Amino acid sequence: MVKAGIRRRFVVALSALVGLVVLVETAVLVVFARRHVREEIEQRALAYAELAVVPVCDAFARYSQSGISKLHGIVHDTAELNPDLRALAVYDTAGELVFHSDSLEVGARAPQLVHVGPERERPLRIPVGEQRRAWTETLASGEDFYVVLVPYVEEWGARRFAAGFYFSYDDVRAAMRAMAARIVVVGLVALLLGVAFAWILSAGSLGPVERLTAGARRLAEGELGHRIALATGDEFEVLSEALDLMAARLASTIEDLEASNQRLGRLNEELRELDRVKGDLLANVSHELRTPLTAISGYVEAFQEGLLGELDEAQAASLEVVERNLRRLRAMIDQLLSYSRMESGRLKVEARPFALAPVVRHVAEAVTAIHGKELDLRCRLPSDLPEVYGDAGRIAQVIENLVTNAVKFSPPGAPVELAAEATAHGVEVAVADRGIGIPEPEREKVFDRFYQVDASARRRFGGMGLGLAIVREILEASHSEIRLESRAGGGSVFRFELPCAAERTGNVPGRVRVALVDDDAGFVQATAAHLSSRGFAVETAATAAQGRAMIERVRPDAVVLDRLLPDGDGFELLAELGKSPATRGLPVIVATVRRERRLGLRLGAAAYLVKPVAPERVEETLREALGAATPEREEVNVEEMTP
Amino acid sequence: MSESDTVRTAARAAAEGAGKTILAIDDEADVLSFLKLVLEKRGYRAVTAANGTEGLIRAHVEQPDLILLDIMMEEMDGWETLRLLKLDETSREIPVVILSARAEPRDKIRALQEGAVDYITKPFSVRDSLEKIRAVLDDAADAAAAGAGP
Repeated sequence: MVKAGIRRRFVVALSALVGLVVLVETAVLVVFARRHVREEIEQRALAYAELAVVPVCDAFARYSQSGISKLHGIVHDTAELNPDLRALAVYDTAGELVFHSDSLEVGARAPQLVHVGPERERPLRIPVGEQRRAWTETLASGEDFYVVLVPYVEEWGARRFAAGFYFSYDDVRAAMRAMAARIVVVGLVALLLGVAFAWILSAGSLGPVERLTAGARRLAEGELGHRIALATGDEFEVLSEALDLMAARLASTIEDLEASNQRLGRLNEELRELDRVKGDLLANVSHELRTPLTAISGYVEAFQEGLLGELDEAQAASLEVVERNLRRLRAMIDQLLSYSRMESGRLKVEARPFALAPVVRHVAEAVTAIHGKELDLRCRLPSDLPEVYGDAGRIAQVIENLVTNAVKFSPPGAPVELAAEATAHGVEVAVADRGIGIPEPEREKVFDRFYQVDASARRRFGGMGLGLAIVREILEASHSEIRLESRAGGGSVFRFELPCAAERTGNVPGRVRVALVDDDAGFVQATAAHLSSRGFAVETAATAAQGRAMIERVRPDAVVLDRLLPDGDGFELLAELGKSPATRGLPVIVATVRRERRLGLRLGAAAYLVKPVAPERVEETLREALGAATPEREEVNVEEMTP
Repeated sequence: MSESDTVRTAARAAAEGAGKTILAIDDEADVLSFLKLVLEKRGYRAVTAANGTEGLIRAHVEQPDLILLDIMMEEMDGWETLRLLKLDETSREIPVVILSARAEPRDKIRALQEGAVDYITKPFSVRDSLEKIRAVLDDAADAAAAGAGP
């Protein structure tokens, strides 16, 4: 946690600082104390030596020859007076050692105190002068001694001595030890106080930071209503105000955004509604237009059939003109209807293999019937065209619209060419006119609905400008595209390509192809065997990945799909198939052990079977799923191909 | 069309109609009169009704061999009329052919589901329509013969 991090660092730093101060102070204290204690010992030693020299030397003078025990007694008593004294000696005027306390038994402390070795091995040959002398002597053992040498003159000047006192610094060490103990205690207390102080201080100064951090985190988590609102009166408060302001602005921006989103949504809804109304209007208008046409074309036909008596030649010719124009009117209404259906998303393209030549011939006949003598339609149809893959009815509509368009924009009597030609992967259909051509900037727009090259064209050429829009829609739904080559004044060529049936399916044309995607070998075997015996072409795959590849390659008419596949969820593949433009509308039957019908159907399954399921039931369901699409398609095609 | 053709057509027409009664229900007077004209020329007895209610009465009274029914009518529409025709014992067995300007596949499917035998889209071709009518009548005759037989 960041919070603990800052606080811990703060406390550690402050404690370290306190510790360092304590340490430095201790060191200084020790140095000074040490010197002080030594000086004290030395002062005491000097004062003592001045006083003690008299009784010691006097006693020595008196009792060194006789009454040695008296001497001992005096020396002993004198030694008792200074606790630092370890030994004392008396020297004669030549500096020769004449007495040393080593030879005494000086109380309880004596044994360890009197051991002043070097003086006996290396006697002090001190010139005994008038002056008292004092110095510090360091022994080989590293022990320091303070040596004081004091001259002594007998009252009558008879004999002169010098007394040497040896003091130990042991007390310094003891004093230091005591002091060290005190310092440790004081230092610990100081450190403790330091940590506590650091903690309190950090709480005081870091509290706002912590609140800021927590507040910023809540804001980041999207809780924009939260306010930090610090009142510390320092930079923290400024920072918190800035954060709060930012949050408020963000909240209001989001609010605005949501409001405008809602507005957009409503607008979109309205537009969609308008579009729907327009679509309905389009559909209704075209329906309503058909009703009067019924009576008109009915009577015309009745006349032509001779039901209303014989017609003379002029009458028959006139009726033919009427009929031709009726056909044009009908074709336009059909186009309008077709477009309204496309708008409402009900245009379906059901691709199957089919032969192009009869379709082209049929269209040629129909267009000729409408335009009559003014049309010079030249068809070029090689006899060896391969079978193509697509929706025959829709492709007929495309060709018809292209030819009608070409006729419209050709000068009277100019030929329109309709040609089909085998290419590497399919068949290309081209419709060429020798009309006014389409200038470059207009090329893309000609495919827009209700578009005319220019306003005057509408009057000159008539029509609703829907033909090419329908062409583009159908070809897009068929995964083809319309291409346009044109020169202003030099005519236009519209081309599109259809895939070969053989290339597309890799299968016997005409048979219904079923893809089985399931890893349940028993089910696959039984179902495949049954379906094959009923005339279906069955392809199988055991995993989602294989299934995907297989569907891509084979382009089946229906899929039977398991949910539980070894490499994933069959529903994912189902959703994918529904989304991909290549497979949208492909009926998928889910056959699985799990009961998730609603989810399956929502994801676009045409039917949902719960295993175990008999192969006969699969076939039945397949036929239902395929049948649902079939009648619709056929009827629409017949309807719209017949002018 | 030559004169002999016309004579032959008329003769065939009379044989084709053979006095069968056809009820046409449509609220377009022009369409109705045109249907009447054509049907009578073909030797049928044509009865017309200008709306659904009248159509139901006519169907009950005349017991036609076939009913041509328009869908988009004011007041009672064709769907309602068809439903009532199929509810009435006396008219249930009469084959109904729908006549409609609506070309939506779902309308066709609905028509068949609701008991119509065929569907003609307006504007219709006289020749094709007459062929459909004859086919329906032939089927009905076959069914009746099979029903009356052993």
